This record gives sequence, C-alpha cells and structure tokens, in this order.
Amino acid sequence: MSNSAFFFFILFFISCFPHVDAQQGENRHYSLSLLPSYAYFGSIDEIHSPYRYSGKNFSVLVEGKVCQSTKFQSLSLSFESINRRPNNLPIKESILLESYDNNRGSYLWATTGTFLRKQTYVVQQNFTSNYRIPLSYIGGDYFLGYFQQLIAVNCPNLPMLELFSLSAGVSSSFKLPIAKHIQYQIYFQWLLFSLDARNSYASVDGYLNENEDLNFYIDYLKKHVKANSFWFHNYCAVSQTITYEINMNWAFIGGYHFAYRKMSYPRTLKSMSYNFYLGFQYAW
Amino acid sequence: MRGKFYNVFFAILFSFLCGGCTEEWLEEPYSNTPLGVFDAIWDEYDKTYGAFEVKNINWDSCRMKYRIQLTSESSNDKLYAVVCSLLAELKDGHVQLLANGYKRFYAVPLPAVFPDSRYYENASEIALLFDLVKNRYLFNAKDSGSFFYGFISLRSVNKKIGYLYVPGFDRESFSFEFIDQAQRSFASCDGIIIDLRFNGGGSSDVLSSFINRYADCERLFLLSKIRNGARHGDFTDFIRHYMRPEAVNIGKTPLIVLVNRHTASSAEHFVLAMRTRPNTLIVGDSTIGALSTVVQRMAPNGWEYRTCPQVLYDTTGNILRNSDGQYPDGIGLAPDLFVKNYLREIYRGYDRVLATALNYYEEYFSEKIK
Repeated sequence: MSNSAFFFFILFFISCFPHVDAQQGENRHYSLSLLPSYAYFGSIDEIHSPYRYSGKNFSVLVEGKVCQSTKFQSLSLSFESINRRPNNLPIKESILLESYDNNRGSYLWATTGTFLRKQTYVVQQNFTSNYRIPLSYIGGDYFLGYFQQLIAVNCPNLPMLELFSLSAGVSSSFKLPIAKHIQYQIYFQWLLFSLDARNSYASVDGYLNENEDLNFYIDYLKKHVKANSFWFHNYCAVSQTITYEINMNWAFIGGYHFAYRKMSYPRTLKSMSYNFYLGFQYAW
Repeated sequence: MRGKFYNVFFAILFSFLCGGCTEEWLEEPYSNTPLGVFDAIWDEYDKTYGAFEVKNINWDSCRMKYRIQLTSESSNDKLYAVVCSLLAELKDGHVQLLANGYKRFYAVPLPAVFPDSRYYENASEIALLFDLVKNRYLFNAKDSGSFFYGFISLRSVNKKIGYLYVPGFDRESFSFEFIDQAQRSFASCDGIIIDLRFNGGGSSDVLSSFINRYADCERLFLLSKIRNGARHGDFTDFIRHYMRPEAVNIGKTPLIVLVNRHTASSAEHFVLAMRTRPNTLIVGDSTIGALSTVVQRMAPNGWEYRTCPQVLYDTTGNILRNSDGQYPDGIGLAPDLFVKNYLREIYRGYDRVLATALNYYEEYFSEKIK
C-alpha cells in the first residue's frame, strides 16, 4: 500500500466511525502533562544528500491544556535532540581523511564524520470548537509553528537550514472510554497550507559581503520562503494515547505518535518520526 | 458488546499504525553497487553543476559513454577509473573525487610545484621559496606562523614596498588581527605586494573582508549565478559581488598581486576583484581555474566528490571569458605580466616572480619621478 493510500484509508476509516466524546461532562479545566519519550527521526533532504540520515534518542514533551465548555486549547513544548547519521553509508569502515599542506600549515579533517542534529521546539495551539457533524465528529483547526532541524553537513562552520515552516491545517480528536478509568484517544492532523523556508536548491548562495547578524538571517528567510499547499507539502501526524485515570487529578498516559512529511521544493525532503511516550498528567 | 468491538478495533488500529511505520517509508534512491555509485554521482552533477552550457558539455552522452563500461560486478579499481574519466570531462579546477584508498583525483591535473620540479605537492619546495623571500628580500619581517609580512626598499628609487604573504583564506587559520597590523604598517609604503602563490583559497566571507581592505571605493567586480533547478539552464538571478572599503583600508596604494598555477578558488576571486581596482597589476603564472563555489557530496560507497553550481559573469552581465574567448574554469586567469618561478633559480636565491614585480615598481616610480 502506498503512503498516501495508507493515510487516506486511515482518514476514511476514522471519519466514518461513530464514537462517543469521552470529555462530555468533564469538569476539569486545566491539565499539565509530562511525557518522556523514545523518539526516532529519519529524513532525506536531497539538497544536502540523497541518503537517509536517522537516529534515535530520548526526548520529552510538556503539554498544557485548557478545556472550556465550548473551546479547547493546548500548548505543547517538546524537546528532542537526535544526532542523525547516514546509517546506510559505509562510514565506519571508511573514515576518509582529507589533508591539505602548504608550507605554512597543514590541516587534517575527517570528511565523512558528518551528522545531522535535530532539535525541535514545538509550540502548538489547538482551537477546537464545539462544532459537530452528524457523525459525532469534532472538527478543529490548528496553527502550528515549528523551527526544525538546523543541520550542518560537510561544512563545519555554516549551519544550513533544512526547514522552517509555519503551517495551518485540520486536526481531529476522538476519545473513547474503553473500560472504567481507561480512555483511548486518537488524534489526527493534516496540513493544508504552509509557509516554508528551506535552503537554496544547490545549498549555496554565493557570498554577498553581508554580516551575519539577525537581519542577515531574517533576509535569508524572506528570500527563501515559499507558500505551499498540501499538494506540494504533505504532512500528517497521528497520535494514539491510552489514559488511565489514577484518581481525580492524576492520570497515567502512554502512547505513540507518528508524523510523515514530504515536500518537493526546491528538492525532495522526506522525513518520518515516531515517538513512544509514557508519562503522567495532572488535571485540575 | 460495543465496548468489546471498540477494544478489538483499536487494538488492531494501534498495532497497524505502529507496525506500518518503518524506515522503508524513506526509501533511498541509490544503491551501494558500482552502477548505483555511478548513477548517484552522475545525477548529482546533472542537477547541480553550473557550467554545462557555458562549456558546451553534453552530460547525457558522457553518461552513455562511461556507464556502459561498468557492470554490477565491476571492481572498485574499475569504478574509480570510470568515475575519474567521467569527471575529467568537466575540466573544472574544483571538481574532485576523494575515494578512500585512492589518490585524490582532480578534474584538472595538478601542475608540478614548479615547472622543473618532480613533485605535485611538496611542502619543503614551497617552503624553500618563502624562506628565500623572507630571508633574502624582506627586512623587518613579522611572521605569525602562517602569514608573514615585511618591507622591501627599491634600489633605483627611494621607495618602500610592503609585502604580505597570504597562504589561504581558511576561517580557522586566518588572522585579521595580523593582517590589520600589516596594513597599518603599510601606511608609510609607496606600494604593496600581496603574495597569493600557492594560496588554495578558503572561506568566501573571509575573502570578502580581505578584499574590502584593498577596495578604493564601492565597486562591483563580479556577477554570478547559481543553479537552482533540475534543468541545466535553471539559475538564480544575478548575484552581485561588491567590494567596499572596510577596516584598515589601503585602497589607494598601488598594488601588485603575485599568483601562480597553484593559486585557486577564493584567491582567484581576489584576483578578479583586484582586476577592477585602479593601480593594480597581476604578476606570475596563470591561476588554476577553480572559480565556482564548491558543494561536497557523498556517494553510496562513502566516496566524496565536489560539484560546482556557480557560473561567473563579468560586470556587464556577459559570461566571464579570457582574452581567447574561453571560460576560465579549468584554464585559469591570465596575469598581466606572465612570469614563472623555477626551482633551479630558487636554489640559487632568485625569486623571478617577486623580482619582476619589484622591477615593475622600479620602472613605475622612476617614470613618475621623471
């Protein structure tokens, strides 16, 4: 099954399935979650390399939620630091040393010891209205800003941008009581529109005598920004969470989050991440 | 009943979602086989190399010509030989293949250190030249370990020339503090010599700041474009390269730049900038012709290669050409005064290139005095 067919299948299946909103009658308005997780992140950014760079590491998600009778908002901050390496390239077997020697100095460096570091800070706010359609579907929208993946490849002093993106899309959340004190939630998110800044096609711009101050980076972003619809920037994410309510305030949370992205401008970028998380929620 | 149905459904969905998300979703386009390596390298040049049209290279026919020499069973030696032959077609001083266990391949063969030298990279022969300059020609020489500067008194006229040796523009080793110290002491000099022989280039932003120290005014010295699409004719708009007076500036002092066949990359851009500056002369041999900015890539077997997405234009917007009409990539920039160093002369204590520059200054100032 192709990637897109897989997601359309999931979408269709979820949309057609009637369910009960577990939060009906909920009277707790605030919650704070702390969710340590184990994350995988892999990507191919052809601007830098056609090979997959991937890595795994522990990460943490802190999430605050405000629930009102008609609205639902959440603010989440996640931090991941993953060193990604081109696992399929024979790096370990062939550390390639480059040397340069004129009479005044010699330089020696390992060119194949490259890695990508991913550090993600996500601030996300959901506004979910009480709007319903006959299938007990809670529709919402999200505005998501993320600053993702400052990476350095083969260029020790020049961090190169993989993606800076502001996007808007739709999300759906379904909560179902499975047993007493146990609740299952599936959350789906799909990008509709985004403003994306990526590095230039060949990853270099030529020198322009500019000082690399804040304005330089703002101008850089302005120069490289492009509006994309979901047709050119596919992004979707699925979360599944099982919550066990220990008492009125505390809950135990475990789950799985998956995200996939593909965009083709200026060259193909594909990325995939998944997290297994386990933590606690305090609600009041 | 309904609750059980939910449980079963979500158990299936959960396991399906967790199990379905594997690295296969990020499929890599090339395999680590001889043909995969060849295709990866050919494709990346096809998508990023800038000067196909300027040099009139038919890259598709190069693929047909060389790919057929490989099979999935080809040895590493064969693959290395075929890839080197492919890259040699580009005739570009910056195109290189760095293959583990093999000699570093240059698409434009490296010249010998000196025309009568047996070696291509011999630090001791290069050291011989600059020790000669420091000990025989300069007085009050100051040495930073990498750079050095000093002064030369002309014989026939009472004029003092400042000399500065710049081995490269690497960000790590470049010291603007030392350069500015030299510039300040050159304030009393009547002429300057910047020695870029064996300068292999380096960082573009270091180069920009260095150029600005010799700018007489804000001056456009070069235009360039960079590949930004899959077709060979896809380029950015013009990027304008300016020099602007900055820091300890000696933009009004007469200047001679010394170059040779090992002057490359950013050092060649310095030459291009100084060509537009008044009272400036380029003396020595042709440079190597490595003019584009460089992008380094890796093949599936770990070999690295360098591709060049930039094409240079003169300030009127025409493709940069030598006096014979050729694009200088792989050929080099011609000096104003053509002269070469020979090892046998260096052994005898004579630096022909520096001596030519000094003779020029002697004549220049003698004529001025008359």
